[in-house]
Amino acid sequence: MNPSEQQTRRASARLDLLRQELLAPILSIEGHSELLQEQINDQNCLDDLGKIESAAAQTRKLVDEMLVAETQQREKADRDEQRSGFKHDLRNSVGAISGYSEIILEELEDADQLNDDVRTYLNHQLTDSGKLLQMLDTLFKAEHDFGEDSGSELNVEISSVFDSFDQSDKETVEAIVGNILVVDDNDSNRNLLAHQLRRQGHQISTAPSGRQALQMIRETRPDLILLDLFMPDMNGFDVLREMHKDESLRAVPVIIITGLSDKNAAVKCIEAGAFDLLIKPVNPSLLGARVVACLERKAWHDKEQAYQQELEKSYTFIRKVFGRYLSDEVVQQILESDEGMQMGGGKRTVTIMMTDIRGFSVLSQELDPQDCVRILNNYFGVMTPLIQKYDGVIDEFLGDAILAIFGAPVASDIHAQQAVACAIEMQQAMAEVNHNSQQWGLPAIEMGIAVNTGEVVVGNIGSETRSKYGVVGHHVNLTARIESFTVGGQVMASEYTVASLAPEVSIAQSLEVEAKGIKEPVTIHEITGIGAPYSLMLEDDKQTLLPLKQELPVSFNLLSGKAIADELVTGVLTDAAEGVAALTTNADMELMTNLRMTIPGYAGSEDDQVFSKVTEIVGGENGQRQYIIKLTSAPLDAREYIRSLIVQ
Amino acid sequence: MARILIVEDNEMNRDMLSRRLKRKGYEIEVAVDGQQGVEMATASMPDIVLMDMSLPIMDGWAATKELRRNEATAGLKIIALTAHAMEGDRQKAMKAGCDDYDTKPIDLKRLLGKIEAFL
Repeated sequence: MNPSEQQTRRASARLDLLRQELLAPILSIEGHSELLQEQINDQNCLDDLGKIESAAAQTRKLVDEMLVAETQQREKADRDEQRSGFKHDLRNSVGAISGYSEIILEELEDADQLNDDVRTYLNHQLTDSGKLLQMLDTLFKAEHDFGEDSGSELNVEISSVFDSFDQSDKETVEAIVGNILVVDDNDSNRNLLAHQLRRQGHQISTAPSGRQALQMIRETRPDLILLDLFMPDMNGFDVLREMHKDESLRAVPVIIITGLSDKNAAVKCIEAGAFDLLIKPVNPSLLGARVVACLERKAWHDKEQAYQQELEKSYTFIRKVFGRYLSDEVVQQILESDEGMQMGGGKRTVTIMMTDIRGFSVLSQELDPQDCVRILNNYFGVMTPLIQKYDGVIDEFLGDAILAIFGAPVASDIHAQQAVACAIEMQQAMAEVNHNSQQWGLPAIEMGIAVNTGEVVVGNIGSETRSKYGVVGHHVNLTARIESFTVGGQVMASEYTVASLAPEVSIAQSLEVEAKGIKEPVTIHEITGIGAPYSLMLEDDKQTLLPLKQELPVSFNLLSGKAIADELVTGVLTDAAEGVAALTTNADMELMTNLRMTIPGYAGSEDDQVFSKVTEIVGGENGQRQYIIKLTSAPLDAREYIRSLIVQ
Repeated sequence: MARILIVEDNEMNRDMLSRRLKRKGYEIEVAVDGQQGVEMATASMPDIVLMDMSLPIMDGWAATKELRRNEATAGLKIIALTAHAMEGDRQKAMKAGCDDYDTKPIDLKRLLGKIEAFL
């Protein structure tokens, strides 16, 4: 833009703003005249009010004409004469507004009909006409162009905006171009629009009808659509509505271009999802700007979409790493946490939970594979939501065992109590697991749970193609060791876990165990209940032992870890209940000692191995000691045989 | 009661001024151009002539000069009214023979002060 063009543009802007300034009091006068119309009853005064209204209209017309005249190049003498004429006429018309307002005031006052509203409105007319007169006086003092006198109240400050405009002209903006579909049934309109937009660098395709447009939109997904409203086969509004119905098309922006200047049409189209509405004939520069604005908006939208997809990818990745046993909440927390996806190794204090179904290996040999899977799926199906409920993360299912972590990957201050409460509720839920099994005619199972708290290494462990979030360290091994001390129905927690618990817990018994990597023996506690806020208690499952018809002689080896002692010990079972028996032997055994036992007396008994654990030391006399043992793993036949010996 | 001749081509101004002055008790006559103004002034010899300056057929300056030239009307009290309100207007009016000068839009109080000064 050359300097003289710039000057012209600024001059015309100045006049636009001046017009606004002058128009403000005129609009106010017109508004108050309407209000007065409602308040005045006297016919003469109404006639005078009519004169005020026509004077206001005349004033407005004169202002417009004067400002148009100002845009024209004239000799100074001609200009001054013209201005003088406008000044004369404007003073007369503004004078009529103030004069008739005074007349109405006087006449109503004399007739004692002047109410407060009317007085207020008429005073407004006087103030506004006075203001207007003053503005005109200031204006007509101008030596040069209107509104240019510095220091005058009417010096319209336009330079700051225009300086910014000029500045932005100098900045090179990266041209935004896109694929635009032009839809119009009129050939010349369509071609003109296409031509104009091509010149701005856009890729243009055209459609002469609504139906064809819709098909092309579905096939090519343009970045923007310019849509005519009136078309024979399917009108633009219906195209818009069809697009809105389709989730995938809703994001494609539409600018309606129409000859219809109906206000309601614009509202309808915008409501139906149009980005904008332009009235024909469309100024090409304005169209260009709108198109670019629209494409820019679309680009942002697409970027947002891509970001959303990226987020979903992360979500899927987390799901893959953690398996499907992570609650949505935990996934969400990982995505939202600052650490986010940085799941490389890190030391973290967590609570580890290990569960195991007692004697499942033996059971699995006896059952149909389908039944075996049925039992396991039922079991995992009940346990998984419970672990998630307590913010635990299931790290692994190993056969019939579950390894779960509390306190990672999302940190928690209460992971120990969450794990213990979870373990107790899991034991309670075994009733449901076994109820289901019973319905299917399948045997009941029992679960032991170990819980331990300590510092471990957590993180993404594995190769690039197959990695999973995992946990390693001595405390993991210790947990496995504790687990081996549990019998069905028990929750065993290490002293470290119990020390981190805030709620009260009830402890049925405690014992010391040694574990690899841990120097001192570790005390482990059988937890049977946890206090508020969980308030969970295991039912006392001590069964009443009943005497056997005859003492049942047994022989057994003591197990230490996975090693089995060579020495074969003998003893007798004297009393029994379901899965429990009283053993009298001269062997000196500690609590939780595991036994591998042979119970003779039924077909095939010599091949069967019954595993049991010392759960109570009752006492003894004459070198004989009595223990209560719990059958941790016994073939169905062995259980059946013992049951048959109980005196009912 | 004093009689006032209003010479004014603008209908609204004529209407407003005549009504407001009538309310104040003056007897009002009106003329719509300079020539009619001269004729009516000569015929009725009002106490005061309120003469607009920009008038059709014969403007206010010419009409004033005409009245001053005529011996019978040379002594009429003439107050010039102008909507231009330019610096030169006042001098031009006084030079043409007006006794006083006021601007439009009319400030009735101010105008009444000027009228009463001549009565």
